[in-house]
Formats: sequence, structure tokens, C-alpha cells
Amino acid sequence: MNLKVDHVSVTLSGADIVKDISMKVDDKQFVGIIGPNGCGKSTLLKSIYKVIKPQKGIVFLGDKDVLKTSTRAISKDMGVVGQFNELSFDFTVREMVMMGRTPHKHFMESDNMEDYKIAADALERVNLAKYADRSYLTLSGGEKQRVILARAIAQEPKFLILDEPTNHLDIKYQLQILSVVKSLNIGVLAALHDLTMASVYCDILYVVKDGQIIASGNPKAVLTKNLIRQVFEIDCEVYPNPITGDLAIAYLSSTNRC
Amino acid sequence: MLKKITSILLAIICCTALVACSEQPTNEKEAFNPVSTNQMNTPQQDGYYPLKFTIYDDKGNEVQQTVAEEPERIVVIGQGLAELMIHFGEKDRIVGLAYLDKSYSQYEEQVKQLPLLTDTWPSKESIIALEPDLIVAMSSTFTDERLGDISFWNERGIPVLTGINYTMGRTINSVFDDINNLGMVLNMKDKTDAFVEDQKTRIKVIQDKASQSANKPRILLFAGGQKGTYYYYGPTLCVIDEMVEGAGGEYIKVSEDTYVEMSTESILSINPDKIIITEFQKSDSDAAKHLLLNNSSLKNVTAIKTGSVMVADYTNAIRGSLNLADLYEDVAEFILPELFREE
Amino acid sequence: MASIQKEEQKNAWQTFKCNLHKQSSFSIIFIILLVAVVATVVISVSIGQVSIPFQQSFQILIHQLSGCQIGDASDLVNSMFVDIIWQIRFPRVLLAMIVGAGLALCGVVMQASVQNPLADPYILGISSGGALGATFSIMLGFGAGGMLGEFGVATWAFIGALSAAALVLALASIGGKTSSVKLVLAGTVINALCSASSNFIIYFAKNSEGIRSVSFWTMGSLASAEWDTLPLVSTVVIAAIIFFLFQSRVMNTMLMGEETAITLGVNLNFYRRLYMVISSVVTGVLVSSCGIIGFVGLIIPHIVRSIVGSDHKRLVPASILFGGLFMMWTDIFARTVIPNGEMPIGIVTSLFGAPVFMYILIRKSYGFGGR
Repeated sequence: MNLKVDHVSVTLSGADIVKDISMKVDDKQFVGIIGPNGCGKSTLLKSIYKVIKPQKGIVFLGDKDVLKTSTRAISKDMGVVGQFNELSFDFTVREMVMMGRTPHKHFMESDNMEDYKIAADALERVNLAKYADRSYLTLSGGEKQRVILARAIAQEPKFLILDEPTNHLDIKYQLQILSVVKSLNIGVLAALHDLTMASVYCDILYVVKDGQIIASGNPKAVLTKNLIRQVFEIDCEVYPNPITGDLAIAYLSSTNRC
Repeated sequence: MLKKITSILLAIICCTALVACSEQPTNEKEAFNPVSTNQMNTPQQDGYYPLKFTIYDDKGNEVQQTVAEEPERIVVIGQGLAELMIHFGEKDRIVGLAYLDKSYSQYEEQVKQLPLLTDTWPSKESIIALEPDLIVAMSSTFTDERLGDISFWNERGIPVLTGINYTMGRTINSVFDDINNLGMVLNMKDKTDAFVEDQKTRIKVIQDKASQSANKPRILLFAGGQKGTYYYYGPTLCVIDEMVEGAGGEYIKVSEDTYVEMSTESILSINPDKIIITEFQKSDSDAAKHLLLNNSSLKNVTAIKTGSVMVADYTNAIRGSLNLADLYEDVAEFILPELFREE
Repeated sequence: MASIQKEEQKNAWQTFKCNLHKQSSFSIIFIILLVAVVATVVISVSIGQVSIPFQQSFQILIHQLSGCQIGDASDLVNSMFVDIIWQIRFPRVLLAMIVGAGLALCGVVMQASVQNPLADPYILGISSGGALGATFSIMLGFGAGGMLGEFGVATWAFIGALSAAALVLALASIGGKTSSVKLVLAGTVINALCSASSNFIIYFAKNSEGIRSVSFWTMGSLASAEWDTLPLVSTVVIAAIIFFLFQSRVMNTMLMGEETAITLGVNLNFYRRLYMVISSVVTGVLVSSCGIIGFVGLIIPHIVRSIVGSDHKRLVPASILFGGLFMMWTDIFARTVIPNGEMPIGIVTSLFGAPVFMYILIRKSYGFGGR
């Protein structure tokens, strides 16, 4: 399933956060959004998954007009891993993941074996199968994040949105999360903060600053030293990693400069 | 799923049970209308019973009651009404007593000997268990949270006689009405009539004498008076106002309200000639008088300056009791000593 | 490949069995509660200030319910016992059960709707609104005829309760979305406003008898239970119970927070409003019949949560039963502690509830449903 974002603008409390942004994600494509904090990435994503209503613009998920379709219909196709994970109540990990089945269940339908299997698979994918009976609130930040991802996977979405999913994670799990997501083989739109990882996993990158798209395209083409200086206001050198061949970035702090 | 089915079934069962049950009571109520289980063997005396009479409920509405036979098992709620029964020698008919005053009473000892249910409001159950054939109670007893509606008791064949009705207003006549009603319902009118006559005669003597006086002192009444707060009671709330007026004084009406908390300022501005305060316990009356007379902020009030403060028993002054004429005479002596003290 | 798939299958099956096991352990708990409720009803009816032998009360109960006689028929003739058991105690016990179930249910629903474990059925101003209505009716309508007299305390209390709730909902939705924080704040404001108005009426109406009535009313009492009034209350509560038994999934999702609920396809605002309206009506009916009975709606969900967890599939039915049980036992206490008299039940529920809740909090493992 593909995603089309057309001229979306979002104003919050009188300030223009997202200024006329358009992007698209083709089916099975992994698209990343990068940019400094406060550039509007999160707000843009929130307006796509219907938490915030954009002032202008249209969003199409497949052939559905997202803004005019009900949240229930959208949630059958679109899964979200966000940053909103504060709970006052406790559930087990399994119960949390099982909630991902909600969009597909009817009014009176209860959970069947199929649902449990899907949930178990999802937990397996994020390597938390042994934690199924643990209480969610007792997990570390990274583990919680993985549970949320498992919940999104249990939704069996055709499209996935990730809002900085690799915060709080050990490097092992950062790589694992992104691999898992990539292996799902569905369209993905992710806001990422690690430029190197973004370049490795993403097919397309959009660079956003001050609510506008500065650049877009293939990561290797987009991530240049000049762009990084323009957007992130730091000096660096971009070079191919001698071991992996991927893009690598050397950050130059003032003490390093000759 | 199973759980849900069980819950639904449970709910349906409950529903049908409740609906079915609620059909029943109307039949049940007619089925057991227990006439007094103590069937009198002697026939009704001179056709006096069954007796129909009218009472007033707490809202002031008239309610018809019927007493089938001479009541032998009476539940009394309210110490004042019990004292009436004691005074007229009918205390043996009392099978249960509730709601006691916390104040001084000359019938203290005899009240102690009565079968006590509780000193506050009794439960319906405990009264039903006594199987009474008459309830004599303060009108305020018949509210939802206390004994329920008068009709609840009538349905069980238990008539009700109400008294001490503050909604209708406390007056000397209402005190006499309570006594007369009791006399009528218990078939002892001769005793009560005699008593009331005597009281009225004594009161008339005072009123006649007082009308001769040109002097009309202004009297202020306080009730309560704990820790320096003084409550004025309006005429409907007490009987002593009539005594004051009848004995030649002017009862100062502080406000149209039934009761008001008086501030020191208002007392100063009213500046009464004499003051009557009430106390629950006889033992506290000296202390109360002392407190008032030594209240430095009030020292310029005429009544305080001249030491004209009288302490009256709270129950008798507010609710009225069998000692109305005694209090009347005390008040007369206090208000116009020059006229009454020579007696 | 095949072996990995088999491994996954086995895991899934084990998980399913494990859950089934949990299901069955919950089923056991549920059945125990059910049996306890029925047993308590029978026991309650035979306890009171007038001592009626347990056997007799049981016989009378069966006879009245079904018409069949067990044991010695002559006992049933004692109309005084029948009167007490059937007319006074049984409706009261049923009312206690219904009120307890209703308040516990509304507590669960409000805690989910506001995502706050400190919520109770009264946070939308229902208690103070109901009290205001009752105060108005008692103090100003006292002895008055006409329209004021027509309606009665219960109706005015209901009107007051629902008006307050409507005000809170309206206030909280000013300026866009209704968030839980805004609701709680709006509730606080309306609570304060209603309390002040009640006090104003009390102070200026100058009716000491009325003040006593109002005070008693606010303490909550089941003394007014009778067959005539029971059907209305029970219908409302049972209808709500049936409705909410099917809403477990939505309520679970609500606890996840606004944003997550949206991503899972649950229109939070709609459901929240719907639940709060239903809960307000139920609580309004309960408050107008019995006054303000506190603590039940707040602690029963917590107590039950610490046993069966936060999943509403289990929490809702268990809370309903446990609430009914709790209320029946506190009512037994309220009826028997003062010889030949009665204590207002609102006092008892708080007196009992508080230490129980303290115990739960002290057990450090308490994580609002975690184990």
C-alpha cells in the first residue's frame, strides 16, 4: 500500500509548524524523514495518523482519503509506533500486544487462537517472547519500545509509521528494530535521528527543516556535507565506510579542526 | 464468551425476578394486615372505639387515622410525649420508647424505667418486632430516612398519633392540643381536660393581672448560647414568646426568620430591658447567667446593667411541657416583679 | 524451516493454553464471587436487629419467591417475620447489591474514560450536583406545594446531578478536544460551585430540621429501599452492566492514551463522551435514591485490579460482583451496629474502604493492576 501526502500544512497555537509539505511512499518502500528537533517531523506524522488535523492538504493511504476516512478503517491498514508510552495502568506484555488486534475485531468478538498466534509471532520478531507474562511497567524504556512495535506488527498493517523508534535502544536493538521493520516488506514512513542508520535502511530520505522539505531523494545523494551543515548546523565529512561500503559521517568538532 | 453468556443469563434472571417480585407486594400487603395480635377479650367500651381522628404530618397536611380498639401496646417516639403518658398514668401501655431529650427532666427516673429501644431514631424493624397497635411520635419522625411514611404503618394496621409539630408552629395551644389528642385517643379525656383547664385558669390569672400594667418591658430571648454564640428563636419555634407577651412584656422580634445567630452588635443595638436565656441542664444555668452578665462587650446593654437575666429550661421554653403554667408564672415574676412578686 | 514453524506453532499453542489457564483461574474466581453474592443475599436477609433464625428466614425467602414451602408450614404464618424479611430486609439487600454493583461499574468506567486511577463516579460533579438538588428540594420546597412539592427530593437530586455533569462536559470541551486533565479540572470547578451554592441555601434558609435532613441525605442511606422504587434503579443499573460487559476492548484501549487509541482505530472522544453520559445517568439515579455513598466507586476497582489485573474483560464482571458483595456486607454492619438504630451507610463505606485501600497501597508491588 502506498502513501501520498499532498501540500499538508499544520498550524498549532498560532504557529506554522508544517508548511506545505508533500511526499510519497511507494508500496514496500522504506522512506525516512530526518531533520533537527522541532523541525516538524513529529507533527507531520501525527497529522498523517490522524491525531492532529492539518489546516490544509490531503493524505491518501492506498485509495483512501485519510482525513475523511474513519480512524477505525485507517487503523486496519496503518500501524503506528509513536513516542506516547506513559501509562498509569499496568498490563502484561502479552495483553499489550493483543491490543494490536483491536482494529480487526468486531463488537462482540473475543480473542481466538489466531489472535494469540499473531501476537506470539510479533513478540518473537522483536525478541521478547520470553517476556510475555511480565508486567509492562516493569520493563526498561527500550523493551517498552519493542513491545509497542510488536503491538503494531500484531495489527498486520499494510503500512507502518514510526516516530523515532530507536530512542532508548541499545545498538543491538536499534539495528534489530530497523531490520525487523525492513523485513516486514510493507511501506514504511519513519522519522529517524541517526543519519547513518537512515542512510543504510531507507530507500528515500526527506530532509525537513523549519517545517519545509529542504531535500529529498536517495540517501547517498541527499546526505552531503553542505546539506548537513545547512540543516544541522555542524561541520562534517561524508565518506564511504571502508568496511561496509555504506555512507559514513565524520563529525568535526572545533577541537578536531586543524 | 462463556463469561459473557453467564453474565447475561444472570442479568436476565435478576431482571425477571425483580419484575415478578415487584408484582407481589400489593397482594402481600393486603394479605397480612395484622390487626393487633393482642385481641382484646373485652368488647369495645360504649362504642368509643373504633375512633377516627385527624393528625398533621410533618409537611402540615391533614391525615386521617383510625384506632380500632383501645391501644394496649404503644410505641412512643419523643421523650416529651412519653412524659405526657407518664404524667397521666398510662406508662404501662408503653412497649417501646425512642428519641430522648438530652436535657433536664423531672421525669428522669420514670423515663429510665421505660423499655428503651434507642435514644435516637429507631429502625422500622425494631418497631415491627414489638407488634404495637399505636405509635405516638413527633411529627418529624415520619420521613424517608427515619420511620418512613405514615401510610407504611397504616398498611400494617398501626395507627399513628403525631405531636410536637414544629412545622405547624409551637404555641401554647398546640401543647394543649397534643395533650387533648392523647386524652382522646387513649380514652382518658377526663384526666386531660382537667389538667388543661387548670393550666388555662392559671394562665388567665396572669394575663388579667398583666393587662393592668402600663409598663411593657422589652424582652429578648436567646437559645443555645454555647461558647458565646446566641441564637434568637422566632415565635413559631418556641412557646415562651406567648408567655412573655401574656405576662405583660414585649417579645422582641429580631427578624422574620425562624432563627438567627445574634452578633454582639445586634444585641447592643436592640438593647433589651431584660433577657431570657435557655439552658439544657439545670446545673448549667448559673454558669450561663454568669457568663452573660460578665460579658464585657455587652456591659452597656440595659438588661446586663440591671442584672435582669433569667435562665429558663430549654425544653419547657421551646417545646413546651407539662409545666407550662409554672414557667409562665416564673416569666411573669421576672418581667413585672412589682406586680407579681407579692403573690 | 519446517522445524522453526513447528517451534512457533508450539509456542503459540503453549501461549494459548497458558491464557486458557488464566481464563480458567479467572472463571474460578468469577464463580466463587457469584456464589458468594447469592450466599450473602440469603445471609443478609436473616441478619438484623430482630433475631430471626436463619432457617426460618431461608424458608420465608423461598416461599415468597417461588410459592413452594420447605419444612414446617406453620412458621410462615408468623406475619411479623414475613413482613420484616420480605418487606424490609429483602428489598434493602437487593438495593445494596444493585447500588454496590452500579457504583463499582461506574468507577471502572470513569477510571478508564479519564485514564486516571484516582477517578470515581463523582468526578463529574455528580455528587455535589445531586447534593445541591437535594438541598434545594429539602430546604426550599419543604412544606411548599405546587411544582416544588410535586417533584420530590429524588427527582431534584437527579436533575442536579445530571445538570452538573452536563456543565462539566461542556466546560471541558471548550477550546477543542476534551482531554482527561480538562475533565478533572472542570469537575473540580463545578464541584466547588455546587458546594458553595448548597451552603448558601442552607445558611440562608434557616431551617434546622431541613439541615438535618440534608446532612443525613449527604451521608447516604439505604433505608428508603422498598419494592416500589427498586425496579427503576435495577433496570438502569442492569442495562448499564450489560452494555459495559461488551465494551472491554474499547476500555482497554482507552487506557493506552489518546494517541494510541486513535492508532488502534478507537474514536476516543466519542466513546469517552458516551461512557460518561451513561455513567452519569447511572450514578445520578443511584445518588438520587440513596444519597452520596462514597469510596465504593473509587476503591472496588483497585481492589479487584490487584487480583485479576487491568484487563477489562475480567475487571468489569469481577468489579460488579465484588461491589455488590462489599455493599451488602457494609449494609449489614450499618444495620446492626447501633442497637435498634441505623448508621448512614456512606459513613461505613468510607470507614471500611480507607484501611483496605491503605493496605493495598502499602503493598509496594501495587502497580495499578500489575503483578
